[in-house]
Amino acid sequence: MTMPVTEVLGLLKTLDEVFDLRGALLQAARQAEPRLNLTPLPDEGAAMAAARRRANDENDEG
Amino acid sequence: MKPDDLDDLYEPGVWGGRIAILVIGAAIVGMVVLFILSLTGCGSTQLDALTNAANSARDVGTAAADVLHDSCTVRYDEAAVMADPTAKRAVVARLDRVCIPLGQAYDAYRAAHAAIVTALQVAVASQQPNAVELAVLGQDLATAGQRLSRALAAVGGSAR
Repeated sequence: MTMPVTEVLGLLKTLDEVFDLRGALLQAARQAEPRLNLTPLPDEGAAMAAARRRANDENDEG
Repeated sequence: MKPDDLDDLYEPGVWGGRIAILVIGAAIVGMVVLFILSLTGCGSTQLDALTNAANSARDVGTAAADVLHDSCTVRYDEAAVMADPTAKRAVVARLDRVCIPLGQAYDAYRAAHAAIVTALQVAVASQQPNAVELAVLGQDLATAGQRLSRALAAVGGSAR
């Protein structure tokens, strides 16, 4: 299965519109050498787990 | 928060549209990665396309982290200070039903994104991409995107 570059760009355009990014993704896609964003995603799973523990600790104490 | 407020944990007006968009976004990211990997070979054009897909995957992940924070982390913290232990247990149990799967799906997506970013970094630096490794990691990211999409849909479903 292959997908023409134009269709990949079309999907990126859809993401652009869905997230209201004002063409940022499409513009990046058209760059000759796009820069990879190395910033890791936030560790929100750990933050949520800590909040859940706090809620359950309070339950245990109650 | 009183027990009667349980139905107000998620407000459709606030969460419905935002989560629906994210569900679609996570699914699209997975689809884009798979399509790119289906292209023959792994030349510079494919690496550029994968770089863009990884960057898009990060945008979707960041938005998913915001949903996880607002709909779970903040809600657990609110539950932690509730005075009524019975009501508190009920709130925590309800949050657990959607937040535990969402947290696990997010962690898997975050790990899959980090893995493909590392592989792409090596591929771009060496100009000798390991097509098999990228295909496996891309499949992992696509699968994680689909799982995240389902978990987000469950959060959206609890708003109805």
